[in-house]
Amino acid sequence: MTKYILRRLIQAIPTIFGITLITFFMMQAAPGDPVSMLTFNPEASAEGTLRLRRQLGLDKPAVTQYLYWLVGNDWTEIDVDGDGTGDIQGTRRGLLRSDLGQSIIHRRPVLDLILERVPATLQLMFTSLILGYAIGIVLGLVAAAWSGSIVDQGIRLFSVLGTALPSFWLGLLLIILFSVQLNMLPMGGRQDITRTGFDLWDRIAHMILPVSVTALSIIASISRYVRAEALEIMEQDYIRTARAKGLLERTVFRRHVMRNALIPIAAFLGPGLGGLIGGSIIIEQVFSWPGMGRLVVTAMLQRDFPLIMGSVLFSSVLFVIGLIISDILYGVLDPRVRF
Amino acid sequence: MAINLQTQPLAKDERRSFWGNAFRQLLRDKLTLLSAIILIVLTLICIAGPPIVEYVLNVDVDNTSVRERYQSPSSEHPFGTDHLGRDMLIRLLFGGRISLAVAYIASTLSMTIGLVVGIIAGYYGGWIDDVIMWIVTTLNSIPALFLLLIASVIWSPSPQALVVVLSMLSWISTALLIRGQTLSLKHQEYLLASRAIGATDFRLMVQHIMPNLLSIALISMTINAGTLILLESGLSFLGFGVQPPTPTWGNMLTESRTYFDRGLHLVIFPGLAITVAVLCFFLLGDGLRDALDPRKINK
Repeated sequence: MTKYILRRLIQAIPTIFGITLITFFMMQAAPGDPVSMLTFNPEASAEGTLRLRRQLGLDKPAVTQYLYWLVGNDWTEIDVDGDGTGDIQGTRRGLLRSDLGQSIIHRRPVLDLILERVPATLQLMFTSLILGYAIGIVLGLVAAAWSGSIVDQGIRLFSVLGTALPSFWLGLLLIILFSVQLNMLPMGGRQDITRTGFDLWDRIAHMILPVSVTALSIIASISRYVRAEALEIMEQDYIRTARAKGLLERTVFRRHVMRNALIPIAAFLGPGLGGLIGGSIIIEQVFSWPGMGRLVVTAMLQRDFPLIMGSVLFSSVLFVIGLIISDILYGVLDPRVRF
Repeated sequence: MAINLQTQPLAKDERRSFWGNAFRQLLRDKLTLLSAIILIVLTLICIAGPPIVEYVLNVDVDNTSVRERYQSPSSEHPFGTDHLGRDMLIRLLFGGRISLAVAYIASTLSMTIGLVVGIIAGYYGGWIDDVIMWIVTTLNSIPALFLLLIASVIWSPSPQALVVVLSMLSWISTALLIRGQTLSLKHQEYLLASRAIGATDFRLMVQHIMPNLLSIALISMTINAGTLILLESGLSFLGFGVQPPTPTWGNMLTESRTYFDRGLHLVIFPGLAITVAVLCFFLLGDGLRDALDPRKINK
């Protein structure tokens, strides 16, 4: 088991290396000069711009810049005035030592900015995950147990609709209905900013709409998945055996079908996470939820490259870790999997 | 001595090809048939509508009219007008052109890439497979919307470029699927036989492996088309996709977001268009899966 976990972790290294490559070189391909973003001055003197470029390492070839981004430049001296000798000591520590650089707009470390926003995103994601899984599993099992019935058809329609409805449209409609027309729920945000202190009901009220929209897509995919899995298991030999020995249909379903059908869902958790992270960008935008998604979109609008790179890297690594956890979970739950 | 390997063709009523079977199965599946019809009609309207509007009715898409802002649906404007007094129906038709073209072209492109990459990875194995899988897992680990956003920020693509970017991002799931199937086909005896009489790698892949995978590729392409519409409209909604005044279903929804209190029709119709198109693609994909599943046909 330990060996398996270790192997999965080692396997993740080339993937994460690839992610850093893609993020960095996509940013390199971007037209426009980060320096003009920094100075906000189109008439900055050529000499000053050049100094700044050298100071930021932008005069170096892309590969060197990538290395600096990865391992930092505090082991070398920066030649600011361009005379060929180093002038000041580099200060960047590189992302391998948890330095994702400085945000151009906020002028603060990227990692700090991200860590400030992560709790809000995780709060939304985990609540939706728990709700979505609970409801999705129940619906999937019900659909399988009465497969072909009107209930099954209804659940199928619901789940296809759940995947086809654009989350931003559904969110908008819900806001119009519940916030504008009925004035029951807040339109967006994480809490009522006029209120001081922690108010549980206020927090929950703000979560209802975004969580419903996110959970709906999870319910849709999980219920389809569980249904297909349960139907396949119902055709296995051991189910026939269970029936043959005279078990009640109810018992067969609960003891043999249900338990086996739920195992693969653990493996589904990881891949689903990617869609959830991507989807949170849209949900957070619709509901003005102050999470990572909004941070990224704002960073993109402002072309704050270090922040974009940092958040993409952070989310992707989060996703890779999620994949590993779901793989391990699958192995723990299913004794047939050998490590 | 030449050996005549040709077999006698079956009599007409005995001939039951795989695709013929699948087609008959599809015709029986009412829901799938309905989605296919809706898609065809929607596509035809979006292709034929804009030229008629432009050249027969002589109306410009961007025709604004201050006096006709925020009008509710009426006989003159069946879907109402928007915040600049532009006819919503006309804009939906023009927007649908882009959204549907993106779906059709990008899904075809991504299926082709996925099919080729998947077969090559599965067939050759070894270091080729390792490298391809490394790229695939890496791309797969970055949420697609992030990559799409970055690409849009960097290149602010035209609709044409957007199609290319979208297909570069969406071939991964197809490639993984195809690779897995190729792996399981690779050691079949008919391939060994074919190789024994001197078939080249290329011939084996194109003549013997690919036809077996076309049905899977087709299903994944159909479902991909739906996902691509969602991605494109999501991107437009965030303000990074095709830029106004060129209408797409996504950016019409973004614009309406600001003015929804002036009329629900501004929000309802663009969203409905997206949902219907995506739903039809998903249902069609589902139906194709049922129709093309050999296990089901034999039952």
